Amino acid sequence: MTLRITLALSAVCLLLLSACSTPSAKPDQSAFRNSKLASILVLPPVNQSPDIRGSLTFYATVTRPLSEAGYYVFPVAMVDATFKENGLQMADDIHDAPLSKLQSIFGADAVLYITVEKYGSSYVVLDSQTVVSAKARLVDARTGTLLWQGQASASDAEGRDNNNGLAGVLINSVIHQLASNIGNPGHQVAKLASARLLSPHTGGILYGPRSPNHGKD
Amino acid sequence: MTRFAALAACLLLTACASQDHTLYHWGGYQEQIYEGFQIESSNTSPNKQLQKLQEEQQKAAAKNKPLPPGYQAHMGYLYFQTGQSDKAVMAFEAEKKQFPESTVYMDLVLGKLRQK
Repeated sequence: MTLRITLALSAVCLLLLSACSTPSAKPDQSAFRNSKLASILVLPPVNQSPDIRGSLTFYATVTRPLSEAGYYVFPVAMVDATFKENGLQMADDIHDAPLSKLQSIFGADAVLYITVEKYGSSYVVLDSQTVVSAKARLVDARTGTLLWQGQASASDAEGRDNNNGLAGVLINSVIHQLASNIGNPGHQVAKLASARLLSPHTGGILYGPRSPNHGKD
Repeated sequence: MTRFAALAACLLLTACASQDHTLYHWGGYQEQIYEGFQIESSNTSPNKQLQKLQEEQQKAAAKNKPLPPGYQAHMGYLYFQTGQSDKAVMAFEAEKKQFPESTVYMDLVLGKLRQK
């Protein structure tokens, strides 16, 4: 009996641990695997949302998940400044820059193009929710080969259903931080969306060479 | 009771998974990036940012945990902004040493810095 309960709880544990990754069929990632990439240049995201804060807010959240995945991530604030000094103010223009040019400045193995699709609050019946969603394309800077693409979103309404149990509690901690971040409520939600988009999971970014999990996924 | 223990173990496990097994000492680096972008009206400045990053740098050294990618380069950028070119050069060199992946970019930045 005790064993059964332990087993059941272990299963819940596993579910919890994997709750944040989006389930999908295992796609062919041989191009990614063979690319042997070690460094990623994340370009300032293109913003399709009506809130101009979407681009830089999301940009401020990408370093941690990609670094913890085992890659070298170029310092985003400095990268942004480098583009601006060279007359590229708009993310759309930066995304159009030729790979050879990016290569000569940064020497990155891969370039990550992010588009923030949704950023901000929408008001639904009796309630409001803040949603951030983004898509990304990872391109081999040396060959132009598309290595991976993905999409993820997050909302501060996720933890509000009390039926969610422990998962709800975990997400609620994010909401809690959000309450102290009234100026730009999308910031905390962006962190969650970014972690979902850029942390290794099935069909997602593979572990890089600086991670102990490299080559095991 | 057993149920409670297992539940506690489960919470501990998930807590560990999200906290202490990081490769790097983050110490608010991403918050400093965010503040530096001045998305919200705040009273931050390159000097204040540097102070926070220096404090965290010491904590990382005390824990013997590496600083994340870009951290020392970001400090170099702030040193440059505050007119401390010598320290900027040292920080960019330190980034390059810790992360040879940054060599092309750091050499470009160092080259421009030395021209000035």
